[in-house]
Amino acid sequence: MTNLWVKGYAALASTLFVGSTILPAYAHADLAETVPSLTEALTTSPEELRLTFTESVEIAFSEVSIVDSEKTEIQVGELSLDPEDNKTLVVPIEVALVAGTYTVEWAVVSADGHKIEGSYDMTIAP
Amino acid sequence: MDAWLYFFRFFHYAAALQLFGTAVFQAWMAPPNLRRAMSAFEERVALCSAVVLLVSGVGWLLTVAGSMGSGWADTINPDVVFRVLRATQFGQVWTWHLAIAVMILPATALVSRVRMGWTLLAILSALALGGLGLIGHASALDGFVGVLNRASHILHALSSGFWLGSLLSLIYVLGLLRSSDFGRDADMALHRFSGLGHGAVAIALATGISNSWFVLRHAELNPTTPYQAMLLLKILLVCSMLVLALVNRYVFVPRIPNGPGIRQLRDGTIAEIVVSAAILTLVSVLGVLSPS
Ligand SMILES: [Cu+2]
Repeated sequence: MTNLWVKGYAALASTLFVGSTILPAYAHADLAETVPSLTEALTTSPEELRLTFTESVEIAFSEVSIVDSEKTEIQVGELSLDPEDNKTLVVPIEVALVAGTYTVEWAVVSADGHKIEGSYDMTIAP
Repeated sequence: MDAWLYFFRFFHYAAALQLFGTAVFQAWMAPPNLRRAMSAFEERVALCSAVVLLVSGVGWLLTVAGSMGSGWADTINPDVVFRVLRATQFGQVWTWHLAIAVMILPATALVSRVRMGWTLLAILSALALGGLGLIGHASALDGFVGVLNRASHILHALSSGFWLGSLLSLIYVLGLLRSSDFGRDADMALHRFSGLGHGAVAIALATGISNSWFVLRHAELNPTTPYQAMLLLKILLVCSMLVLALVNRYVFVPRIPNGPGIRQLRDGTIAEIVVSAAILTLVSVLGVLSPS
């Protein structure tokens, strides 16, 4: 009986240990990557923004807004998830952006149920 | 808002652990005569826990709606609350979880009037307690490792539930140990609990270690961050739980036949309950904080 416990316990512990070594670390989720990327020099308005997070996101509680340097909010289309990747939020831009610097503000709820938010700048210079 | 989330989480975890431990004790630890003798007390404990489970479960949902939405107004905004239930991972788990919490109420009220009532309650409360391993950071990962991580959290909840949730029943049993009617049964229940308790403690420790490892594997170890400081404190408290449990089992239990064992074991068990309440407080906060 004791022997069985020890074996079961060892099997469990080693499975979990092996499992955990092939894992990425997690904190709360965060923004991992954007398209256009943060360093890209844009000459024309992008047609959409793609924001990829470190965890899947809840589309029902995701918001992205774009504001220009005068703090005026630019209308964006309806957000959707990339059908192939539930970590990527797609933001259609329906009115072409003129040259200038914009701030992209995002707030999403990630798979763990926690709300995270942030912002980044994007410059268009023809 | 976070403070309310801590508050509801604490009572929800506590109620789920207590309910599961009580039902398992009655269903499988206590021989039939003892079960009947303890029934009135255990039913009251179970009913209180069931009510707290449901109320705190709803409170938890409303607070989450506020935090996912835009603040206090959204905690009572039906649109937002239903959007949480229908359209998020948390909400899908919570719909089932609350349905189970609702079913637990009549199951608790009828527990000694139906055959196998305590077994049914043990199963329902296992589902409620296990469901808590499917939300929060346990659910952050997809795929096979995600399944493994969830399984580890579920096992952790159930094994700790068996351990911590039985302590109150244990104290009651100690009072019956010298009784001429129930002494033998009480002794038998004590030994069953201590036998299975070793397994439960081992599983709780193994899964606790693996859960912490899952969270912190790549994080920079820095015990001045709130999360890691609290996790460290939790580990210290768990170590003291372990010492208490070992002293109870291997020092106080052998003194029961003729010595002061019963009183010492009662004090030791009360100490375990106090420490476990402190651990639960930490758990309620840890699940909300960012690990790094
Ligand atoms: Cu998180």
